[in-house]
Order: sequence, then structure tokens, then C-alpha cells
Amino acid sequence: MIKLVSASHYLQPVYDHAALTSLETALRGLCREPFRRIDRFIQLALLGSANCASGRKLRPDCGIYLGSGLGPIGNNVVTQEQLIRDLEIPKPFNFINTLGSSAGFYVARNLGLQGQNFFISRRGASLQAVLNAAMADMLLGFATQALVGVVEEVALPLDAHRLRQHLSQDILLAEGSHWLLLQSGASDSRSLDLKRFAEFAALEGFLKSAWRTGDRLCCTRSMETHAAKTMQQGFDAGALSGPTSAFHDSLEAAWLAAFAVSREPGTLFLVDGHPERGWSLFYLGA
Amino acid sequence: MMDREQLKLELKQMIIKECEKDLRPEQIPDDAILIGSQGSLALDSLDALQIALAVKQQYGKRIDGNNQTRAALTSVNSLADFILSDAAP
Repeated sequence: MIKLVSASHYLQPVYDHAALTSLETALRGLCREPFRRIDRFIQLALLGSANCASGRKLRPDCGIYLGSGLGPIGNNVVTQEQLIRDLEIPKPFNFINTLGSSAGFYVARNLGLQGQNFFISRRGASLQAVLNAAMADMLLGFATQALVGVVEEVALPLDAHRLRQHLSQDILLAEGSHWLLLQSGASDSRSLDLKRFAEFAALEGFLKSAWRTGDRLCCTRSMETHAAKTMQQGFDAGALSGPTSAFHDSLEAAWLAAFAVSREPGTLFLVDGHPERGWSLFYLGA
Repeated sequence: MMDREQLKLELKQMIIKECEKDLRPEQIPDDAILIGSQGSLALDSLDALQIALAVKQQYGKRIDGNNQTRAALTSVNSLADFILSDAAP
């Protein structure tokens, strides 16, 4: 049985013509040492992971599973502009930090971890990707504890950031760092489970039998629209209110982390899938 | 002709900015060893590369792999000498 023992949730809307919120003061109180050469994506990862681990002694084999839709987009833009537009060699710090795994390195160093360290970038489904990896490792005994995080950074200017994601220019954007600390066999904590279904009808049937008043349902963006609508029509519409009206690529992570942090009763069901690939259901229960 | 003292101040500011060191320019002696554990700044090979690229962008001088130009990274003094020298960019 995999249990959720801690969670942290950072979600910051980014308004037009406003600067990004500085994270340096918050990080000074959270990091064991002042880190050089870190970019905003790494700062967000350090902030969320340190808050999630705060006050807990993590096991040295605790794995880090970091996901993101866009990854370290700010540094990627800078590096691509240096290479392609300016025909210059990128600066080494920028170039190294285009790798999302740099963030995992700093998180491990800050928390003193030596276990598995994964970075997975997947547009629209990064949470599912890292949860799948972490839960598989825990079930196979590669880790008894897993720090699972999803980070999304905003790269200014906002109009270019929206364009890059094919978003309308009136969409409110957000940055996020959402983390869960999972542990095998921890008692008196919420349990996190995963079920897979080949057929949509089987998923629906399971949900109907498990559903209790007050439960929440979240359909991922990568789901086919008609399937998501079918799901939502079958359940309490009130359960669909999310933690924010602002957007980033991994909002499912914001839903899950916000629900975990709130300690509200009930179960959050997170549905993902496709008629050809099958369906998966993560659920964070009481 | 670039003023040598002014150049050394600029170089110290550049090193602090590029290498994200929490220092003031006056805390870096002109002859302090920049790279390696012997130096008080504790800069490493990645910092050296970062400085080399910044020097190329700011002053048009290329620090490459040969011993002569690599020696430019020994201290602020040697870096200033290298930039003020007639060596081809």
C-alpha cells in the first residue's frame, strides 16, 4: 500500500506587465546551502520539494521523480536565442540548466538524497508520467519513499509564452511547484492507488461503485473531450472546481497537491486515458 | 586605450555576476588565484568557461585551450593584461 505522507502546493498566477515573484528570500530559509548556477525552474523545484520535506527526515533511498510539461523553458529560450538568433555559443550555466535533470540534482543535494532521480517531460500528462514511474519503483522495491514533483515555469514575455503553447492571449498563466511525498506502508495517511482499464465502460463502472458524496473528479487535458464530458456528466458537477483559474501545463498536479494539502475528506479521482491506449485512474483516498 | 584600473574593476564585477559569487569587487585582490581550490574564490572549470565566454562577448578576446591564453584566467591582473595585449581576438 502506497501512502501519501506529505504534500506541498505552490501556485502563483503571473499577471501581464508584472515581474515574476522573486523566490530568493523563500529559498534562503529552505536550502541547506546557497546554490549558485541555478535558474528559475530549479528554484521552483527546490522551493516545492523543501516545503514538502519540511520537518521530515527522508530516507536516503528516497527517489526523486520530477515531471514537467515545458521543463526549464526560460533557459531553453535563452540558449536557443543565443545559438540561433545571435549565432553565439551559449553560456555554460544556461546550457547545463536546459536539462531538466539539473533540477533533480539540486533537489537531491539539498535534501541529502541518494536514491533514484528521474526527470520526465511530457506535455499535458507530466503528473501521470512521474506517478507511474514512482509507484512502479515502489511496488518493485527500488524505493520505499518517493518525492514526486511537478514544476511549471513561466518564461517572459507572457505573450510569447502563450503563443508557444498555442493559448489564447487572454488566458491567465501561472507558475507551479506541486509535490507529494509517498511512502510504502505508512499508517494513518491517505492512500494513493492506481487502476488501469482497457475499456471506458469498466472505468465508469468502477467509479460509480467507488463514488461517495464529496469526492472529487479531475479529467486530464490529454483525455479526449467527449470522454471527459461523459465522465463529468456522470458525477457531481460541483466536484470539478479546481484550485485556480490560472493555467499551466500540469494543472492536474495542482489539483492533486491542493487536495492533499487541504486535508479535505473524501477521495480525489484523477482520470486519464484514450480509447486506443486504455484508461488509468489515480485516486487519493481517505 | 582602456584604463587598466577601470578594466580590472569591470572584470571583478563581471566575475561576480557571471559566477554568481556573493562578493563585492574590493574583496577580490588583483593577484588572487581565480580558478581551483588554491584560490579564495573557489571557482571551478565551469566558472572558467563562463568567464571565457563573457570575455569573448564583452571584449572580443578569445581564451582558448592553449597554455598561453589559458594562463589569462590565473588572476584579475593576468586577465587584464590579456585583454590589453595585442594578441589577435
